[in-house]
Formats: sequence, structure tokens, C-alpha cells
Amino acid sequence: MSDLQAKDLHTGYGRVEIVSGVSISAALGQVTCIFGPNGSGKSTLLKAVAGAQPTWRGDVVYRDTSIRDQPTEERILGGIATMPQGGSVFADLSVDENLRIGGHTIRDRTQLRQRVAEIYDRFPALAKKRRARGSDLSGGQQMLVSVGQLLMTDPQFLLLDEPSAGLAPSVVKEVFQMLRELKEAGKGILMVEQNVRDALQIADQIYILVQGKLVYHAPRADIPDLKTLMKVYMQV
Amino acid sequence: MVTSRGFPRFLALVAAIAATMLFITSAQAQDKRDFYKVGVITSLSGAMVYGGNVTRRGYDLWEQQVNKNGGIEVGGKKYKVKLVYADAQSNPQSAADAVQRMISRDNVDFILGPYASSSTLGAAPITERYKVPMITGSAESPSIWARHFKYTFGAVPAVDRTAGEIMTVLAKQRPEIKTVSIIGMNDPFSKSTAEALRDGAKKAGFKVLSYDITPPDADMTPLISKARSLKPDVLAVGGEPNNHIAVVKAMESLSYKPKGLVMHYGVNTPDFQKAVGKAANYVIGATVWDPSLPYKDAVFGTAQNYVKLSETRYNVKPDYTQAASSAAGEAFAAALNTADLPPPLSAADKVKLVDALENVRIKTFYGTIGFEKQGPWYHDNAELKPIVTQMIDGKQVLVGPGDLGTQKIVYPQPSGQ
Amino acid sequence: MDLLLQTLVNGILIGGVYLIITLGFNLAFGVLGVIDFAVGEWVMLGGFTGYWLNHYLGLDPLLFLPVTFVVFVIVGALVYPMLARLLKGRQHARLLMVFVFTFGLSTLLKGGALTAWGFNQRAMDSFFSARSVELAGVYMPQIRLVAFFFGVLITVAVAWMLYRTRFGLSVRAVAQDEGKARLMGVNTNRVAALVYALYAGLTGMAGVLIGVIYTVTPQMGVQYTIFAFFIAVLAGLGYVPGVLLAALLLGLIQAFVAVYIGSAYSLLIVFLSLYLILLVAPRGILNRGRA
Ligand SMILES: Nc1ncnc2c1ncn2[C@@H]1O[C@H](COP(=O)(O)OP(=O)(O)OP(=O)(O)O)[C@@H](O)[C@H]1O
Ligand SMILES: [Mg+2]
Repeated sequence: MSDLQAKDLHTGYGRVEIVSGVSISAALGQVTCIFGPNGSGKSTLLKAVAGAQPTWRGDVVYRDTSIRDQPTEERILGGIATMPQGGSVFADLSVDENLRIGGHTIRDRTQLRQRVAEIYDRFPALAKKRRARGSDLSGGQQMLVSVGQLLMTDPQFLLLDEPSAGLAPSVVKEVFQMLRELKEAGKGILMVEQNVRDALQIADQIYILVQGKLVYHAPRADIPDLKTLMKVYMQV
Repeated sequence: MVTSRGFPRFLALVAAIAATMLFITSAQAQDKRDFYKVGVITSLSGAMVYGGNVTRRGYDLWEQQVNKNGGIEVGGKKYKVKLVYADAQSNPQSAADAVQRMISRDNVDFILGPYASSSTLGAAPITERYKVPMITGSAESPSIWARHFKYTFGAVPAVDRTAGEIMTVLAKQRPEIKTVSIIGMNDPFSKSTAEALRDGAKKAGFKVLSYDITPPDADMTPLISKARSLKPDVLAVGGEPNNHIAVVKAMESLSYKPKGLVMHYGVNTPDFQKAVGKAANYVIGATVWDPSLPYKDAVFGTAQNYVKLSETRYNVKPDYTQAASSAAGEAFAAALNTADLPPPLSAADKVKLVDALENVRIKTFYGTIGFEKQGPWYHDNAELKPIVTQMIDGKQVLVGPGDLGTQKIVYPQPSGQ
Repeated sequence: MDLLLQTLVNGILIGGVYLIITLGFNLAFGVLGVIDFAVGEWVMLGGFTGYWLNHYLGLDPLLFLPVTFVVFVIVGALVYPMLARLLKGRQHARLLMVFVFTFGLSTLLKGGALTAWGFNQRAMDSFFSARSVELAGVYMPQIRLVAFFFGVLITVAVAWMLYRTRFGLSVRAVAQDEGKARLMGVNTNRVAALVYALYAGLTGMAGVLIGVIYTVTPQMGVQYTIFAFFIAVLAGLGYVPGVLLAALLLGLIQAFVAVYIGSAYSLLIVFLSLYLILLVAPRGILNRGRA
């Protein structure tokens, strides 16, 4: 079963093609991981799926319909939310404003207020900081805000670009615990990660991207342990 | 780069270029024109475009009239004139560039110079280097004449010989005046005007309460407020017409009207009149020419006729700058005639033209033109006397000195503080 | 003492003039990240719009502020797509292209205005022109008071929009990080278009007020471009609330220098203070703009 797919996707910047004919599938209730060296085009691929980057050739399919020509707003309304690399906290906005911009597609004010309240319920640590500026938060708090922003629209699919980067080990653990819970709640997660070891703990599907091309794909079940995967990773 | 096979071709190319250049230079040397090519350098764009067009109208009217009469008479034959224009863009550097381009490209015989002293100061060193005579119909700053440019002449007396006269006449007619405040814009002409007003005021026995030089673009309310706090009898301003508009608007907005307001130049221009309306009333100024004066010549007829010519072609009443610009052409014509210099002028001819200009003394519709041969006003027109004016009900009325005035200065102006 | 108070008032009211020209400019800079060198020409065209309407309809020019706003919002919305095309180019080339575009636009507008209307200075009078309010010997030109309160009013209105509305939040988000904002579903292109249109509308209105206070000529734009840039830097590029403070500061510096030091030094001192302030606070006086 695949709920979100990239099919033979090509994209890039200016005239330079960065992602060349990549096909991936991700399903609800599963964590799909994309690994790959720096500059291989992981973020670019994710942006194309999110709609922040045009798809030059190929297709993006969500629940059997092509969304390749939909703007980001419509994809969010359809249930796909994205956290960019480095998180999505705006340094000069307060925590409250950050959450509200996360729920930008919610037009109803009451509903928006309700959603913000729900996020505070979920992350009580943020409730105490609602007036604080994004730049005044710790790395862990910023991650919480980013996740909060992501959940504002109650999406079915979460696209995450290196959610554990730059975080203290204890916070990384919390993040992965959170992702596991989301997966268990039936959400689909498509995630780019450098932290292969922790990601492997929750992954269901593994892709490896090198220089804009897919070089490896296997279900988690086919990979006995981290060592085997690292061996593959080193070879490509 | 040049291969052995290509070399003959290269030589041929060089020869062709050399031949072309030779042809062009010889063509230039043989340039057998039967008309005078006259360079006009003035501001056709930028902040001074208003004044630039005043001078241009003056020069164009001269061209029109001279050609209507068949041209400039030299050695029994008449030669028409043709004007070529270059834009001084309201700044000295562009004026210098433009005049340089005009001299080297158009090979003009002589030049009718820029509007405003700043542009003249930019152009003069260039005409000096290339030895091309120039008369400016507008520049009034004494700083030009103090530098003794051999090739630059001026048709309007320097402002330090005219603006001061306002103070003399004020002191004579209105002994109750005791104090003056002065505001001048920071450009050569306006600054010289302000200095002349200050020196004239001191000579007339007035106490100068304040003397401020300001960038012309600045907001005028602070300086107006300062002047008001000093309560002078007369506020005097050195500036261009557009600066005067800014000053009057600022004064009006602060509900301030001094007992006497002096603005040396431009208060009779339509822009000023229209922009400030009733506030233009009772402003005191100076001029060196007025249509009511009994001057005349063969090209333009009477001063009154000059006004008619200008109104016919431009629907504009001429001021003294426009008149002086037209008269500048007449000075050249007179000098060409006496020195017997038919077109085109060689380099030697141009030097002779300067000598002839130094000895010109002609009567025109604008008054007499004759240039100083030495002293601080070297090559400036020394023959005209300043006339003090006052705007009364939309008309420029002559108020002095002496017999030139048709009535006494109105002072204090109604509701002046 | 009177002169001191009067100078204070003059300075604040000059600041009011600066405020209305810089507000939209700084907002547009914040969102588009580029300097519109045609800002002075929008002021000029706004002035002429007011002038011609006043000339033909004879009503008080201030009554045309709303019409001018609407006209320039439309003009801005028409110009923006051209700008947007250039903005989509690659990073460093695009800044150059935008510079060339706005600079060319400014030259074109100025040249066009000169050809159409000539070089004459034109003045228009409002009911408030040539009137003042006197308070303990201090005179306040009514038209400048009107302009000042108008400036404060639109500043408050723009600040309210920015800090109290959904649209304002998305404007600030786009200004800070366009990429992130897009991932949140903000239609960044539409936000930028609306902001540019708003900026054009505000600047057009500024032109009417400036035209009434001073005069209108096709060449009046340049100095306002310089001042807008200047105040925007002082305010912190892209930081709107800083504009109020920066405009007042600049107005006060000018007034006090003119009266107590010498008007000839005012630009010099203005530049010097800008330099010193930026040395201490490279992100503007409130330290909230872009470096
Ligand atoms: N906005 C952009 N404009 C032009 N080129 C870009 C842009 N963003 C990324 N690139 C280039 O595209 C290539 C792939 O970048 P991308 O960010 O997708 O890689 P990545 O795999 O996510 O790398 P990392 O692991 O470092 O995050 C790089 O060469 C990068 O320089
Ligand atoms: Mg990346």
C-alpha cells in the first residue's frame, strides 16, 4: 500500500537538475526514511513533494490523485505538512505567532485558537513560553515549536527534513519517541535523516539517494542490523 | 594574433583606416560652411531645467531674428547662424563634459553659455583649454569673473553689483528700517546673492541679525522660524525662483509675513506667481532690464517688441535673463563684424574674436553691452545698472534707484509683522 | 526658549513628512528584500495625481487621498508581476536586475512626466495651507499637522495590520523566511504582490501631502528616494515600527542643525549620525532590521 508517491521525479534550481528520476512510496502508519550524503538532493526532493519546489518531470501522487500541480496550501489542506531542514521556527515571531503561522491554512479563527490550545496541552513546556521570541528558545524548545507547527493542521502525512540534527542526545530520543507515537497513531512519515542509527529504530522503508539518483531501497525487515546498512551506505 | 597569411590583409586594413582618417580630417579642415555653427550649452534636464529653458528661449529667439534678417553681416556678406545644443544637466561636471563633447564633435565657432553660475564654472575651464569664446546670458556669480577666464564673457552684471542696490534704495526710501535677516541657498549664484545682500545691508547701515546658508532642497521651516524669532524689519533671500517658492510656502504655513521681503531674482516669473499667489505681492527684487525701458536695436526692435516676439513664439513674458541671452548673440555678431571673421572660424579666428569682444560696446534692446577688460569683474558686462523692483498686484513695478523708480517702495507690507 | 520649542515642533513635523514616504517603502523592502529606486517617482506621480484632480475638479486635494490610494494600489499591482519575474532569477544577478529595473523605471517615469507636464513647479492649496495653530508662541502649520497625524494614523494602521491580522502575520513570516512561509501554505507571491500594491498606494498618498506642503515637479523624486532609503536604514531595513522613530529623529536633526549649527551642515551631520548609529547598531536604531 502506498499513500504518497514520487514517480520518476525530476527537479532542480535554475537550469541545474538536482533530483533525476526518483521514485519513492510512503504509506500511512509507516516511517519512510531517505538517507544520503550531503548535497545529494534529499531536501530538494522533499520540497518537491511538499509543493515548495516545482516538479519538472514525473509526478507526485497522493491517495491515487496527482498533486503535482497543487500549491503547498492545497497539499496542506489535503493532509501533508512539512518541517524543513533546521526546523520551521521564525526567529522574530513569538511562540504563539509561530504556532499560528503553522496553522496558516486554517481560516476559522475559533478553530485556530482551539488548535493552538491543543498544542499547548500537548506540550506544556511551550505554554509557559508563548510570548517568547523564537530566537530566545533553546534547541529543544525550538524543535517542540516546529513539531507543534507541524501538527497545527492535524495532518495525515508528515514530511520531516532531519528532525534530529543539532539536538542534544536526550532531546533526539524524545523526538524519535514522539515520531514513534505519531506512527502508531496511524500517521504517515516521510523523513530525511543523517542519524541512521536512531532512524533505523522506527523506520519501515529505507531509501538511499546519491547525487540525485536512488541507489538503494529495501524494507526495514530486509535489513538485519545497522552494520549491514552502513556497509551498503559506504559502498554507494 | 596576426598569422603570416593574414598579415597583408592586416596591412590593407590599417591603410584603409588611415586613409579614412585622413579624409575625415581634411574634410574637416576644408569645412567650407557659409553659416556660423553656434554651440548652446544649457541645462535641459535636472533641477535647473526651468532656468535652462529661459536661456534657451533667449538664444533661440536671437537665432530666429538674426536669420530672419538674413544673418550676421561680415565683410559685406550675410551669414546665417545654426544652433547646436548640449545638455548641462544642471551640474558642473555634466556641463564640462557636454561642452567638451560639443567642441570636439561639432567644431562650433563660438558658444552661448549655460544657465546658472555653477554650470558656467564647470564649462569655463573647458572653453579655456580649447580656446573657444563663450558668452553666458545668465551667470551672475562674481566668483566666475574673479577667476579671469579669457574665453568666458557674461551679459548680466554680477549679482554683487546689483543685489546690494536693493539695500541702498531701501535705506534711502525707508529710513525706519534698521534690521535684516538673510537666508541664502548653497549654490554659487544664490550664495553670491546672499553675500551681496549682506554686504549691501551693512553698507546701508542695517544691522544683520542672521545670515544662514542652506541646501536648496532642505525644509525651510526651521530657518524661517529662526528669522522670525529675531524679528528683523526685512527678510532677504538669495535663491532661484523654485527656492523662493519653498521659502514663501514655509512662511505662509507658519503664518509669518515680515514687514519687508526681498528676493533678488525671479519673483516675476509665472511659476513663482502661480505657485505662491497673493503671497508674491510686495516682494522686493532687482533686475537689470525691464520692458518699459527705452532701449532698442535693429534685430529685435524695442524692448516692448522683444516682449511681443517672445509672447508670440512661447506665450511667455521674458525676464532679464532671457533678454540677456538674446543680447549675448548680438554681442557676438557685433564682434564678428568688427573683426571681419566669416565662418567657419579657425583657431586663430577664435582668438581674434575674443579680442574683438573685449572692445565691443553696443546698444541693444536689452541695454548697453560692454565687457570689463580687467579687475574683479573681468569680462562681465559693466554697462548695465541695477533697478530695484517690487511686485504690486501681479505687476513688477520699478521703485528705484532715483528717477528709475515710478513709485516709492511699499513698506511695511500690509499685515507684515 | 520659544525658538527651541518651535524648532522641536518644526523637526517633529518634518519627521511626519518623512514618515509617510518611508513607511510603505520599508515594508516593501522587508518583504521583497529589494530597494525600489522608483520610490521618489511614486511620490512625484502621487503629487501630480492630486494636482490634476485638484486642478480639474477644484476640490481640496486632501479629499483625493483615497482615490490616489486606490489608483496607486492598482498601479502597484500592475508593476509587481514585472518585478516578480526578475525576483525569481538567481540570487546575485537578481539584485542587479531589480536595481536596473527600478532605476530604469524611475528614469522612465521622470522622463515621461517631464515630457508630459514640462519642468514647471506646480503648487496646490488645501483648506489647511497657509494656516497655522498658535500655542504659546509656537506656530504649527495646519497642513503639516494634518500630514503628521495622517502619517501616525497610517503607521498605526499598518502596525495593526502587521501585528493583529492573519495577513499581517503572513507578511512578517514572508519577510523573515520566504521558504519556511511557503511550506506553511502561505502564498508568498500573493503576499508580496499585495505588499507592493500597498506600498505604492501609501507612497502615492504621500505624494499628495508632499505636493500640498511643498510643490510638485517631475524632478522632485530623487530627494525622497534618498530620504526613504536613509530612514529605512536608520529604522532597520524591513522593520516598520522603527520608521516612526527614525523619521522623527531625522526631522529633529535637520531642524536643530539648521537653527543652532548651520543649515549647510545638516546633510553632513545627518550622514555622520547615520554612520555612527549604524556603527553601534547595524540593524537600525531599534536593532530589529536586517544587517
Ligand atoms: N535554493 C537553491 N538554489 C540553488 N541551488 C540549491 C538550492 N538549494 C540547494 N541547492 C543545491 O542543490 C544541491 C542539493 O541540495 P539539497 O539541499 O537538496 O541537498 P541535501 O541532500 O538535502 O543535503 P544536506 O544533507 O546537506 O542537507 C546542492 O548542490 C545545493 O547546493
Ligand atoms: Mg538537506
